[in-house]
Amino acid sequence: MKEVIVKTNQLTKKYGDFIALDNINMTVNKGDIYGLIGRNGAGKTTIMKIITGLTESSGGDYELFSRPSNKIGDEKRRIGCLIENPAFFNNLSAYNNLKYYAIQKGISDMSKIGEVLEMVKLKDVKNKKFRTFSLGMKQRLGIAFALMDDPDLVILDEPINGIDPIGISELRETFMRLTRERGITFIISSHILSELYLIANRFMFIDKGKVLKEITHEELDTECMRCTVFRTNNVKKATALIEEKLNIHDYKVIDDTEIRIYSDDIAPAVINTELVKNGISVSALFESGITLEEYFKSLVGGSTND
Amino acid sequence: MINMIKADLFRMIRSKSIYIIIAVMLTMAIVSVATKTPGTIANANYESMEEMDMIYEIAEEENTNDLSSVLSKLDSKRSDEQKKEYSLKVIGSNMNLYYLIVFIVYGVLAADLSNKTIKNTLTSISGRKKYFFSKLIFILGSSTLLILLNTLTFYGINMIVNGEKYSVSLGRMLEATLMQLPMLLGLTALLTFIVYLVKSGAWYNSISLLGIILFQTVLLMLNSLLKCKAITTYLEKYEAQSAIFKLAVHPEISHTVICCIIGIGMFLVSVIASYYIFKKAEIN
Repeated sequence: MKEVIVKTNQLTKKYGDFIALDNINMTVNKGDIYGLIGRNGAGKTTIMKIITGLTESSGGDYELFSRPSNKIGDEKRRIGCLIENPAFFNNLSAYNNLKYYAIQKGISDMSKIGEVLEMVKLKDVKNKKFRTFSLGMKQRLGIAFALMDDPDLVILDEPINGIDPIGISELRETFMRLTRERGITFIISSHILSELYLIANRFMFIDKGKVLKEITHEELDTECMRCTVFRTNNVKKATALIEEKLNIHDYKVIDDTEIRIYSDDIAPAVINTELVKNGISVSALFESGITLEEYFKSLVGGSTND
Repeated sequence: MINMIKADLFRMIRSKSIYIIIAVMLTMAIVSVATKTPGTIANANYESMEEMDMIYEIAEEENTNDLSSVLSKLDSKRSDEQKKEYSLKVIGSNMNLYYLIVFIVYGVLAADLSNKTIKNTLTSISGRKKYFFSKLIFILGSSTLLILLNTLTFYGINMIVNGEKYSVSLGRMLEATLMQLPMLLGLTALLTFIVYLVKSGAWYNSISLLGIILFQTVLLMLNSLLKCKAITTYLEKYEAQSAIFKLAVHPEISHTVICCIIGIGMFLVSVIASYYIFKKAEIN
């Protein structure tokens, strides 16, 4: 069984009458790259702010590294974080900004600063003052801060804001490598599903403070993949026929009435004829499959505001 | 907590403000030593005005309105005791340091909240309690150091330039400074309270710099309008600037004890209120 890194239980946050989070249950396991997806104002940042202690919940509870929220102490050191805009001291250089936090953390090996600056491609400008940095460079420094001190959990809120496409691709590779090699767990929020899709292994869709769906990468693939949907009253007989007579193995039984065939080797009409010929009534047959954006829209029930 | 304090020290020595603070402190000491007069930035208090009579007297005797020529003759009118007391009057003007402490609190705390860099510490380094107390300790420590350094600097420069004739002993100077500490540290804690209350550097600067002048002005106005004895007594004895002057120049046990209680009270109320506000605050 996987180690649970973050677990929330009925997490709720209210601002007066406004409910920012409504009974959120979320479990993040070790090694997950957990994508939080939602429109602006959906509640992604609020979840992150609660579990990092920047604000208190109005109800419910959470655990970090299996410790209840009110007993979290030194566990904070195991977290790397970038929430909302990266904030550093304008009058200090990139290196000195990280050194300030390295001293706070009690890190004695300052070479770690060079390592993380190299990781985010800022080593060449390490002596430049933070105030002179572009938005993308500031974002990279925020990520460097989050990765300093070998954290077990990295929480990144909209980390690719302002970063160029090549930079995004490099960071994606870095995050995936860190998960693979060091078992670092990531929680990353974004309103761009296509970007998170390339990196996360689990997703939570959230809108208006409510969880719409928690889904794995494989399940998301299945939900979005192009397929032929058959609705029939005899799924058992139909699957036997599909496998034995038509030699199709790439299919999935969704429920008592629905089969999805992902193989496009045999035309849907041929499959339909074969099923009907063998006494299996087909109540519906149609092509399915949607883009990630369409899937996102179908979940939130409206147009995305990006 | 030690690491947090070390980090703040690291940042402080890399900021320009600390060097400006030291430069201002040195300038104040040099100007004061050169002119043999204690200077005050804020409203002049009653006791520091006592030499005004002497200034008018010289102006009448010399039949001149030229202030520089009057001031140059002022020292010759002073008795030996008054000459020695001058060094205590400089320490009595330590309310000037309040304005330098405003900058320390800004650099250490207000900038952290205003720039939102506090998020980095609170999310992945320490809890609020540790943050709060390490910042408080650092601010109090550096303010105390500044106050003591100011006394030592002035004493050193004054002894070199004006000699023993113009100075009480170092022990007496330090004693006067230490008696002022509860009041000055109470004000420092009040400044940290303002930071946690407004969470904005601009608001903090406005309130801390203009607020004290406004407070004194309103009290003076009320005193003139209402002729209330309690306000007069407060202004003469316990208003920060008057109290700090009196603690150094004319210390009385009862006054010292009351000032100490006011200072400690201000400190405790400010710290408790700050912690309560900070503990519940949402960090944006």
